[in-house]
Amino acid sequence: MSNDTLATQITPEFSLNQEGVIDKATADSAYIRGEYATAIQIYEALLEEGVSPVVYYNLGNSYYKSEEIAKAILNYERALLLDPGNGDIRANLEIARAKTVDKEEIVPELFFITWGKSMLNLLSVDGWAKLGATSFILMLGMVALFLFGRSSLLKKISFGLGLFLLLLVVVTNSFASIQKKKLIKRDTAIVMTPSVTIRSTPSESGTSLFILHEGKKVTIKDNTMSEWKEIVLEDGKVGWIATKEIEII
Amino acid sequence: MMQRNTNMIKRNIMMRKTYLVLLALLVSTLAWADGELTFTADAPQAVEMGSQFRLSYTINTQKVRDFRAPSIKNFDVLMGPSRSQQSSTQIINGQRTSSSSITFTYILMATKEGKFTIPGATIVADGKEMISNSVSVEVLPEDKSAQGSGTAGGGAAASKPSGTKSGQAIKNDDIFITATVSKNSVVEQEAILLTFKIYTAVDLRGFNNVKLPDFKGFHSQEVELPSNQKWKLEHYKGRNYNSVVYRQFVLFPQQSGKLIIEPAQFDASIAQVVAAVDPFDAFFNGGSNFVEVKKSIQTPQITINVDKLPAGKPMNFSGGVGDFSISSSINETKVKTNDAVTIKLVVSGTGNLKLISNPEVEFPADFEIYDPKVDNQVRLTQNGLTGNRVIEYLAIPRHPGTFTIPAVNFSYYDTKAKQYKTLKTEPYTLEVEKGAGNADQVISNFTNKEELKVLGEDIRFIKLNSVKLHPRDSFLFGSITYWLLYIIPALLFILSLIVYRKQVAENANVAKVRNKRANKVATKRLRLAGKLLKESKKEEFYDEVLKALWGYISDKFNIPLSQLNKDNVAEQLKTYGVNDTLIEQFINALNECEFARFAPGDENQAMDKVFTGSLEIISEMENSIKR
Repeated sequence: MSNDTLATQITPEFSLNQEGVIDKATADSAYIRGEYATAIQIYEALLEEGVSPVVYYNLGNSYYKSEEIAKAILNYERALLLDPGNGDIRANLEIARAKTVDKEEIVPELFFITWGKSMLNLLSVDGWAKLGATSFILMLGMVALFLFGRSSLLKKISFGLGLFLLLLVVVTNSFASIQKKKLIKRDTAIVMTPSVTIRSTPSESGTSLFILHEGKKVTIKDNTMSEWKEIVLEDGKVGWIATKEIEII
Repeated sequence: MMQRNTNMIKRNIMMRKTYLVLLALLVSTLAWADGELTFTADAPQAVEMGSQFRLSYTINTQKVRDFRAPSIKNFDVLMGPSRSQQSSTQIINGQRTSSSSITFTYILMATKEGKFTIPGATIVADGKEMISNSVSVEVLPEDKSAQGSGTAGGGAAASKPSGTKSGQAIKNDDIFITATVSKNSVVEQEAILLTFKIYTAVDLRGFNNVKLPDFKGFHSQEVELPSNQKWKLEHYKGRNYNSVVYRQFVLFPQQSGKLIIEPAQFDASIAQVVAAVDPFDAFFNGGSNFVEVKKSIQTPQITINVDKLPAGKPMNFSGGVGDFSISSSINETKVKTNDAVTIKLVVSGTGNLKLISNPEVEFPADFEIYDPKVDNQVRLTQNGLTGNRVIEYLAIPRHPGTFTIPAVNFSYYDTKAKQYKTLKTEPYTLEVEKGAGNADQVISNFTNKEELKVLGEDIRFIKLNSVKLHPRDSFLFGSITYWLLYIIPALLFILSLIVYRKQVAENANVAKVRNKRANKVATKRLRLAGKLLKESKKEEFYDEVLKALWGYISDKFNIPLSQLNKDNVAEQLKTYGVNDTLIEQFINALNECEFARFAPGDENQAMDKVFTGSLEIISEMENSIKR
């Protein structure tokens, strides 16, 4: 069955939904029935109200099943920004990426940077924030124990733990701030058109530098112009792309 | 005959070795022919009205009696039965074989049009009564065209058209070839039978430059015709012709639309009689001479309407068009690992059997599967290929367990019902037991580890839990709530610290005061006790002394009175560094107090003693403990 016929079939049902409640369960059951177009509409409507990594993830799955790989990648990336530690999102993103045309350049990096990045991606911004606040309160408890403890062993333990928790507070807060910066900055984008030529200047007449295909993730270097963006690839190639060709994650 | 036989013998001696096998075969067939008695009737299939023909009964023995001919109706018996005998003897490499036969012959004349059957004759041969086969003879109407007035046939079917005289033009209806198809409108892949049939009223010698059409758009297969085809007299469009099926093809259209079968072209060579002008020539050449004439013949062009197969093809459409059935069998349902499992599918029926794709048998994924062996046991008929297509699937289970081999679906287009049909075989349940290990397992002792077999890759499933939607770009981190999470506990902590400190300080002050006041309170109590001593109030005196003593300890060391008793006071005092003799004195004083209270005797003297003792202890303690 083609997508068009599917869409026309479900339109009345969907308008009914809009009158009632647009809820995730309706979309989930549509997905299970294989009516991906319906699921996509409802998930998109849900995301108008507010964001959630789970909804982005499900929307990504729906797009993937409808063979819209670029949109699937976009939504997986958005889900991953909100919930960087989720293995399911990562797995599906990998599968979707495998279907894109452009090969992903893996730039080698030092092992501790990789470790740091994977540490950083264990929790989301609010996850780190909550962990930080909890460890701060625990640290106060340790200080109290240290101050009023009678036995010297207790004092030693509470001192050590307190010091560790203090470090944890510092680390978690810096991680949270990094994650937040990523979310606020939003300097990555996905190429949405099947094939696009990257120019050397922000105009159609610029020299063609290279070609990107849909689903490619790029980093925006210069976000000052509204019509054109300067992008940089992971291997350092820089060029200009029309804003309509990309979608910011 | 003997001459030929001797020749044969000579040749055979020369090529004995080469022909040894062939000879053995020949001898055996001769011996068989000798043993079996046959009694056959023979007559032409069709004759022309008014013509004579031969009906003969042949038996391959000479010991016969009582030949009884059937009553021959509808024909005039011109002559018969005439009896002729025949015998031959062969000596091949010293082996003598002989055969003999007797033939009874009638000459009949057809008098009525129609198809008539002459029943079998009976005979007693070698003491056994035998009945011959019956023969049917078709009597065709007389040729309407005046031309066919040649010599009447003497028995052979191909005798009627005796040929044309030289110089006479051969007309198109003297010799022609028809191309007929069994169906003009078919669906794709439905078989059509194309027949080329020769009709001739002249003496046809053969064909040259035969150009058959290339059957564009068809898959063609030639029907094998029997090699000993006989010319048959046939009445066609008012004329009697000798006819024979020349070639037959079964065509399977491979595409839809109007398909054209191009005309076939033949160059016929025809013998024409040359009327002998020279009597000498006529004499030496047997009266007439022949000259060969060539004529090219073209068959008509045929157009065939091929319809597309209707829409709604099943998913697993095999491409089969016709009428099929399917059956399956399995060699074993209980096997051991590494034993082969064979599933045999037999697709039988009529249609484009050779062109169908093999139905898929879905073996469990970790079976070792081999390419199927396909055997076509088919025969070409005018409806297509008829027979069986036997497909053998071989698989070897490598692991024990119970497996299900699902039913095989075979779908085809039924040309009779004009719809798609799907046939299903039965599913099998296969029980695989652990068998003896294979070779490599025997050599090495470790088990065969396999890589996980990935059957396919797909994205992970959606998450079904209900979620709370957050407004975009709202974070806990950096919000007021977040900072409050730090500030409030910190403030609470500091506050409680301050309060605690104050409390401690206050407590310390109270202890100091009490310490300072301890002596004062004790002396005050003792002073009261002294007063009571003078008044000789025994009870109150001891009470007051005890209170003074306990109260002093309590105040001095900041220990609540309730926590003090005689048992633990010694230890308590010790921790505060009071020396042992003093503790002993103190305990003694307490004991004395309690004892003297109830003891009889000189009360005043005892009270005096306790009073002074208590005073001494307190002053000594005051001195010893300087806090």
